[in-house]
Amino acid sequence: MLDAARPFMDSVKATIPWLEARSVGGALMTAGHLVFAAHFIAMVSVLGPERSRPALFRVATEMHHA
Amino acid sequence: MRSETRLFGGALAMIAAATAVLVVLPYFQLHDVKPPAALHPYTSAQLRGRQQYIRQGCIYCHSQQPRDRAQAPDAARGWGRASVAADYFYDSPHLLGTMRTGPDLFNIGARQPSLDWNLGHLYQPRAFVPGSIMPSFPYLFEVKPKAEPGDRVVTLPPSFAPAHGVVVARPAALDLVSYLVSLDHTYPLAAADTGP
Repeated sequence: MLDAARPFMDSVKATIPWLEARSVGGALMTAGHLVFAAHFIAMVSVLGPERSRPALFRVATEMHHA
Repeated sequence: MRSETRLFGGALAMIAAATAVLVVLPYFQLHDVKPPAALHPYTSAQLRGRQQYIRQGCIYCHSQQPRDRAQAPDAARGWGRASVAADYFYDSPHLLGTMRTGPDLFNIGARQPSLDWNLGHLYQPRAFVPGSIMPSFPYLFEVKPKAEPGDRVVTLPPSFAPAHGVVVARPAALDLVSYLVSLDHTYPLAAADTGP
């Protein structure tokens, strides 16, 4: 793009892998939004299991008197 | 929270500072910019084409702001001189664009003044620019068995033309092309146009 000696089409070709990576990233973000929306709906309409303590990263000792 | 007043006061002060720098200051810099004598207001067809430019998303890949020689070889590519505020007098909103997946279009009317080239290029960019990654816009055209009176037939290289029938431009394509060929800001600037 900044080298006048090279045709503009070179910069278009150089961009293609990055544009493809952007498409993959965009797809991941869209998928992430959908997963988030699903979790949010599940949370609001109380579809998930009822928990009284953290689901993950519980301290081992905590499990005994739960 | 120690003080709600302080929180909201601080937020308002930040917004006021940003507005002063981003809105008020540019307003005073630009409010008396006059259009260059060689720049004409858009015709209604060109304005409709401008809406198509926005609607088809041209702005996502095309800028309308040639850079200065010191910044980029835009002039060497034939994209024109660096633009000034007065060049955008009739543009509301401006369509500066932020990305150059494709070339700058601020002077596409000077570079490609041909209606045929522009129509054919919208129908199939690869027919005119090998290796182009621009999407084609077939829905702005219609393939008919035979052209009717008043139809604008698009001339295409034989290998890209449909096997049967002719390609006819829809009004949206004609408007868009009339906007594109109107993009010509190659006129020299008077001292008054370049501003302070």
